[in-house]
Amino acid sequence: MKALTIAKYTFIEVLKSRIMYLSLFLGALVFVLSFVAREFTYGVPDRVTLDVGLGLISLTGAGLGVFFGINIVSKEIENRTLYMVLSRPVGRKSYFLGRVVGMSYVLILNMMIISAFTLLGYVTLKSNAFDSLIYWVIINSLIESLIILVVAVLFSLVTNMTMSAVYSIIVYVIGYSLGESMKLQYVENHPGLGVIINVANTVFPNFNRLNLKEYVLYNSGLDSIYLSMNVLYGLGYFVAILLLGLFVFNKKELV
Amino acid sequence: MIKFNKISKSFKSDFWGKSNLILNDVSFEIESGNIIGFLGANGAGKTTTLKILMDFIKQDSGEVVFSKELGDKRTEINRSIGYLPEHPYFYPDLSGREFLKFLIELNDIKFESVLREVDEWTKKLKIDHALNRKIRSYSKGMLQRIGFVAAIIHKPKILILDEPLSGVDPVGRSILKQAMRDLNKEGTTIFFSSHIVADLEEVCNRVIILEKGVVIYSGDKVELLEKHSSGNYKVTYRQEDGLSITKTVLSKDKDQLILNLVNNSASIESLILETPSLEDVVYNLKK
Ligand SMILES: Nc1ncnc2c1ncn2[C@@H]1O[C@H](COP(=O)(O)OP(=O)(O)OP(=O)(O)O)[C@@H](O)[C@H]1O
Ligand SMILES: [Mg+2]
Repeated sequence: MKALTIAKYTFIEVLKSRIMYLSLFLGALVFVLSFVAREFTYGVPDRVTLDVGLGLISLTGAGLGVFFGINIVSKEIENRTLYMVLSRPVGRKSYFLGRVVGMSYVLILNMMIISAFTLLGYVTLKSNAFDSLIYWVIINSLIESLIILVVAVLFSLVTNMTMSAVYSIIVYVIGYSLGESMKLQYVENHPGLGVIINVANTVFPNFNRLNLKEYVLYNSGLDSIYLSMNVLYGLGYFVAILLLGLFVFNKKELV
Repeated sequence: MIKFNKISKSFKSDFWGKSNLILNDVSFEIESGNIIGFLGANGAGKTTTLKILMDFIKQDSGEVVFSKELGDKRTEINRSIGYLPEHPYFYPDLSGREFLKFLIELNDIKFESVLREVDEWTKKLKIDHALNRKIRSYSKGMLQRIGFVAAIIHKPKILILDEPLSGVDPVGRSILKQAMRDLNKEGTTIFFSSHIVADLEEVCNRVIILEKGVVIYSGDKVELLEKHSSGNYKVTYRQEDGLSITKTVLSKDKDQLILNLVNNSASIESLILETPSLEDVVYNLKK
């Protein structure tokens, strides 16, 4: 219950800051960029629009995830707000959950704004290639950004804000490159390396699993079981990191 | 009410650095009904002590014991506590009113049911005019005042304040001091830190002095000040030619001086017993 109050005020506080305008701006930028890209490439305009648009959604999602993530606790310590809240009858767990949930609302709202702009850009093409898979892509990008959010908050519990941002970006990059690296000829020839990569793959999020852009672009159908399994994987990873964060925050010295 | 039992705490400057002992076997007791001043120079360990008391950080050894009246579980105990951190800043984008509402709701109290108290206290602390403004626009003293209101509005049994007077102007300081005295009369125990002896003099009845992580005094205020006051008086008077002069005299000489001055038709403007500075007190205690 307390967690909900904290989530509510976290959301209100961000809403009242001007941060949300950033998303409107980013959304408009994605919209314009996908138009520009379409005009300057030969070939299939709707594919280019989608390619650029969906790619930018994933990127801005990760960026916002890092930004909101490092602000969840660090900013609160800096402002002493955390002390005011934790001096009330509020457990640390409720506090942490409330902050993460509140910030997740914020992130989801921002992602919806940006996605809406992208879809708008796409719809104006009146393309017939509009595929329900696009919604899955957006949902997956959202999950991806939520994972980055909790990864960033986890890092911010053990290091400063700048380093947390850097580490989270590294995780984002690794999350994309690990899956790909399995396909390399070199790795296939060195089974030992494959084992290491497999271990790393379970520790780091596998964002390739969540990225369905290619399927949309080439119109290849995916069955819903495969899609749901990926979403479950993403949510499972989110919850695991969230629980780890809870554990660390519970033990943390709030100096 | 709250007992600090042989608390020690050390900090590492960085991960590989060696650790410094910040609190060394700190023991004292906060007895119900008192206003206790927690005195110490910058870096003495006051804030660290309060953070341990609030369970924000863990001591290396020793224990903090809360009496039954405050509750058993930490969250229960927190219901009886009002706390103001040092240099508060808070949510810049919430208004003062929203901020108070948020904290009150965390105490499971409906904001609507304390509107009268909010009104009364914000007026008393002269912050009512800014309640609808974003906290971003608050000055340092205003933050301290709204923080004070937030700390007392749920009627805690004990108030724990970390340098509540710092950054507050003279008028504000006397308002805050009066507020502390009023609250104490209504039964609130108050424990607050400061590094200015004069602040304690006006409000506290008990004093705990921390010097480099060690408690060097814990007891009655009057006793402490009497023992360590130089006993000197500052006499300020105006001469016939309009010049204002301040002289420091020993206690035994003050009557004679005043008599002489009056006979010479000088006008006495003030007679003040000198308060010892923190340095004086600490220096004397360590002798
Ligand atoms: N997180 C920390 N890491 C390392 N050292 C710390 C940390 N926090 C406090 N210290 C050290 O502990 C000592 C006591 O600090 P503390 O903030 O408790 O002092 P204080 O009495 O509140 O001083 P002030 O009057 O300046 O507020 C200082 O020497 C400080 O450098
Ligand atoms: Mg301090």
